[in-house]
Amino acid sequence: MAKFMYLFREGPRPNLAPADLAAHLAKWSAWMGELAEAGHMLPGGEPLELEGKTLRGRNKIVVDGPFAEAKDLVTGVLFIEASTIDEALALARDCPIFIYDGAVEVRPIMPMARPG
Amino acid sequence: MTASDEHALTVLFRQESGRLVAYLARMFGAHDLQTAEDVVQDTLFTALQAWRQGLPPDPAAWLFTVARRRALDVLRRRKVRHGHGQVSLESAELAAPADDDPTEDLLRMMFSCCHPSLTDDTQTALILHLVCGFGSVEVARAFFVEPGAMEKRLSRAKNVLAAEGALCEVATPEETRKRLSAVMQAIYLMFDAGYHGSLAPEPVQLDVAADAIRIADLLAESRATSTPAAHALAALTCLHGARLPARFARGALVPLDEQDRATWDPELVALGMRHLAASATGSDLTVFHLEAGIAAQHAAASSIDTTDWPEIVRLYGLLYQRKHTPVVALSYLIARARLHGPKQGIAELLALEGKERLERYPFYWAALGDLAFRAGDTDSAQGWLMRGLASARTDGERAMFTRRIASCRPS
Repeated sequence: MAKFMYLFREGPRPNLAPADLAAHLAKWSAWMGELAEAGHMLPGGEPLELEGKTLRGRNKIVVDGPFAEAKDLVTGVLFIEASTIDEALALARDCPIFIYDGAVEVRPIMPMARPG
Repeated sequence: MTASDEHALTVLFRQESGRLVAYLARMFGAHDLQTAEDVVQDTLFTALQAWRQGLPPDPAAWLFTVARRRALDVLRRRKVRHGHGQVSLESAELAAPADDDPTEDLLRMMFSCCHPSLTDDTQTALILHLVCGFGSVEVARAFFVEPGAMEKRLSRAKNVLAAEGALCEVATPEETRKRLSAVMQAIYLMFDAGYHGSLAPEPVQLDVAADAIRIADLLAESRATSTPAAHALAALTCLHGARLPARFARGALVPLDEQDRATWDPELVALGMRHLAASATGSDLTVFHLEAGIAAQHAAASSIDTTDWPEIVRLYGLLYQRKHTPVVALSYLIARARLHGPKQGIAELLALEGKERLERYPFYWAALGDLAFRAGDTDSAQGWLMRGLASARTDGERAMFTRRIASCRPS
C-alpha cells in the first residue's frame, strides 16, 4: 500500500441557498464515510483557513495570501492509502468538490525508507 | 449523515443566516443590506469548505464568529479606502454591536420588512428571504410564482428598504404600533403559505410554518410587541401547526376526519392554549382570536363526532362578518353541514355567493365530494372529486383526490 495526499482546490464560488449547502455537506460526509469504510482513510486530514501569510526568499519577505477570492485555492488536505496512483485517482472521482467545478490534486507521498 | 441530519443542518443554516443578516444589518444599515447578505454568503461558503471533513462542535457559534470577523474586515477596509489611515482594531470593534439579544435583531428586521409601501405578499416574501433565510427559489415556490419574478420582486423590495436608510426600531412604540398589524398579517400569510405548501412534494414548506410559529411566539412574548392580538395569532399558528404532521401522510393530504389525532403535537397544543388564554384580555375581538378559537375547538376534541360544532359554526359566523372571503364562507358551510346534515350542506355550497372564484379552489370540490359521499351519492361524489383533481395544484393534493375517487368506486 502507498500513501497519497489529496489537495482540495476550489472552483468558482457558487451562490448557495441553505438547503444546497446542507445537501453538499451530506455528500461529502457520504464520500468520506465510504473511504473510511473501505480502509483508505489515514489520520491527519484537515480543512485550511482561507487566509494566511507567506515568507519568501533570502530576505524572508512576508506577503499576505493566499487570498480568499483566488480560484484554485487549496482549502483542505486528506491523506489516504491506496495500492497505486490509479486507484487513488479512482477513489477521488466521486469527490463532491467537482459539483462546484473544483479539483482534487492527487500527490503520492514519497516513501523515505525505499525511495521510489 | 442521515436525511434527518441533513434536514437539521438545512434548518440551522437557514435560521442562522436569518439571524446573521439581522445582526449584520445593524452594522451596515438598511441602506446596505446587500453587504450584510454578501458577508453571510461568504460565511456560508467558508462553512462549505471548512465543514466538509466534519462539523464544528458549536456550528451556530462558529458561523457567528466567522461572519462577525468578515464584517469587521469589510468595515476596516472601507475606512482605509476612505483615507482614515490606519484603523485600530479597537475602533473597528466598536462598530460591531454586541450580540446581546438576537430576538430583538429578528424583530427589528421583521418590522423593517413590513414597510408601508410594500404589498402584504411582498412583505411576507421579504421576511421569508431575509429573516427566515429561504433562497429566492424556495420563496417563489411558496407563492406559486416563477423564481425570476420573485428575484425581481425581492430586489425591488430591498431597494425600498435601502431608500429608508435606517432599520425600523421596535423599541420606538409609535413606529411599532404603526407596523404591528402589517407584521402580524405577514406572519399569518407566512404560516398559511407553509400550511398549504406542506402539500408540495418538498418538506421545505413545513419549515415555513414552523418558522411562522417561532416568530409569532417571539412577537407575543416580546415586551414591545405583545398585544392580545399577537397572542391570538401565536395561538392560531400553534394550534393549526400542531396538526400539520398529521395533515400530510405518505405523499397525500389527509383530511381532518381521517387524521390520526394521536400524532398531533401535544406541546404545540399546550403552547397554543396558553397563548389563547393570554389573548383573552382587552376589548378587541380580532380575526386572529376567532380563528384561534376555532382551531382550539378542533384541538380539544377527541374525534369529529365529539367536536363542538355549534360553537365552531358560531365562531365561523362571526369570522365571516369580519373576513368576507369565499374561503371563509366555504369553511363556515362545511361546519354547518356537520350540524344540519350533508344534503343541506350540498345545497348551501351550490348556492354559495362568489362560487365562481371557489371553482378554481380544489377544497371546494373536496367538500362537495365529501358531503355527497356521506349522503350516499357516490356518483356525484366521484364527479365532484374529478373536478377537484383537475384543479389540484400539488402532488399532495392530487394524491388525496385520486385516493378519494378510488374509495367512491364499489369494491
